[in-house]
Amino acid sequence: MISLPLFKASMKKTLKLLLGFSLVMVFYLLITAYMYDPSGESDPFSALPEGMREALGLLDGPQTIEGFLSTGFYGVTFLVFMAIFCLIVANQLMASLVDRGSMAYLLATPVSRGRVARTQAAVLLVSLLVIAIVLTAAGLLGISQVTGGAEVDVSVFIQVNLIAFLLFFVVSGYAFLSSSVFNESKQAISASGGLTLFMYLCGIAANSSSELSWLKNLSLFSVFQPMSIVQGDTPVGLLAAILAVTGAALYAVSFAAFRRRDLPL
Amino acid sequence: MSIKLNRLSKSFGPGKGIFDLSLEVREGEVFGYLGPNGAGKSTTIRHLMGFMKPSGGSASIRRLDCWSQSAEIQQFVGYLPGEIAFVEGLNGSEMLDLLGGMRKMRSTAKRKQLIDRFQFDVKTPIKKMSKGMKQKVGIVAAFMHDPDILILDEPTSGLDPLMQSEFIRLILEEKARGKTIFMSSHLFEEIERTCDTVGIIKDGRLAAIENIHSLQSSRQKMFAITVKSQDDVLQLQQSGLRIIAVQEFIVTVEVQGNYEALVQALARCGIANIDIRQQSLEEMFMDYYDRGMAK
Repeated sequence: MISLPLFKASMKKTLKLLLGFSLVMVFYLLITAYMYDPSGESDPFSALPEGMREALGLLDGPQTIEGFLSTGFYGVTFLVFMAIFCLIVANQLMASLVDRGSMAYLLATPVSRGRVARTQAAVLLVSLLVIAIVLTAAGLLGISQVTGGAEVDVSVFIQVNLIAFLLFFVVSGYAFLSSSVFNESKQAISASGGLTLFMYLCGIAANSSSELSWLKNLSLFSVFQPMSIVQGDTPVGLLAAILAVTGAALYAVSFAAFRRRDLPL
Repeated sequence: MSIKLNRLSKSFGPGKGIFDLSLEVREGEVFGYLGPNGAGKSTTIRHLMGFMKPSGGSASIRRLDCWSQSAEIQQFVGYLPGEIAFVEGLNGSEMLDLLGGMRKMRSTAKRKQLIDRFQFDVKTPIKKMSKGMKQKVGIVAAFMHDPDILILDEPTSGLDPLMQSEFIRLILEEKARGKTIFMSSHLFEEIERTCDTVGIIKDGRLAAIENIHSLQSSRQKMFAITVKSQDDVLQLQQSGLRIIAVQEFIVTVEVQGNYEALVQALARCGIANIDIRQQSLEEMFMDYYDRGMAK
């Protein structure tokens, strides 16, 4: 299915970014948890103007630690870091190799194009999975420490992280597709980055005004409402299945596209 | 038949691309693919490697289609790209490990031997490598699995003259071992010492496929001969050689195959200096065609 030597080499190349992003996100998660005050009196976001809180989706005041983290961490910081990670790594796994020409060496071995693409996709997916596991583990083990004993609802916390992981399975899917079909890094990152930014801005616009609320239908990120998962309003199983199928389809299309296209090597 | 192009075409817009290329390279033959920059040499090689899908015709290696069966073909092919770009962040030895791993190679004997031969430090990070050094790593990558067929895109570019000769020796050894070699170049000198057959490509079309010896003899050379006296100039003018120009004691003679006549004429003169200017590939090509028409 995949080429192990290539997997190792690509994993090694991704490792620095993976470690860096994981550490920064764990740090942010725990810092945010540290600011949690069970009484709900010192909401750190209360200082922000009402309009801005609405735009960023911070409207529901934090009550539980999960709710607090949903708005304080999963709502913005997490999304931004994960999106950037997906875009950079997807780009360097495919488009950058074609752009620089080093893909020629990989394809001059008996490893087929399909297998090269599947191997590189595996690197991206394993990296996302590592981040998800590290964050979940850090949350479950660390939050009660930094908050001085707040009880984390394990099931809810895992559900939030599962949907978060699957959301970025889809994001990485279109980033990987873009990386597989373009000849230049610049084009690949403009396409996937442009789409991400567009969707993110649509989400913000939809939150800031009820007249623009239809815009949320244009944003993939709208499906990830951690607060609603915490409150039990999201059909987690169904959403997980839809995200998993969408992500898998995007990767399948990437493999097919990469197998069929001309490469300027 | 080892390598076969059957009316291979690829169009990149009007007049650009390669058109109707047909040629065959036998097992054990060394084929030189000659043409000016931009003529379509690399495009042809990209089709052989399965990087591009032909818009018409086909390319095959040992009866396997270069587009649909490219991964199988790579089992017995070694490839040296025209532009050397390794995977970022690896040094030469890690890059060779990666490629060897992807080939499931068990023996590194040939690889060690090649590294000794071309004398370079494989531990140098790729960022710090000179062009020549990258070319050497590329050569090792192409030859290390002892492939039956070698596809080399401008193989000596970037190498110093010493290493160029070493490379030509390597090609001759591999040729003696029965390897099939397809090698592109824009310099005639680079391939005249190694190739049996030469294909000339110009503006995407195959202009000629010739035995190397007939091409060599058709190639004109200009000899700028500095003689010692006016009598010597007269002597040369009467010798029946093709004199292109006379400038004081410098007589420019055009020679095409008839070297004996030149030597005999020169033997009767006092000679101060001889300069040789070779015809460029373009000139040789034009000339080859003019004479082809005349016949």
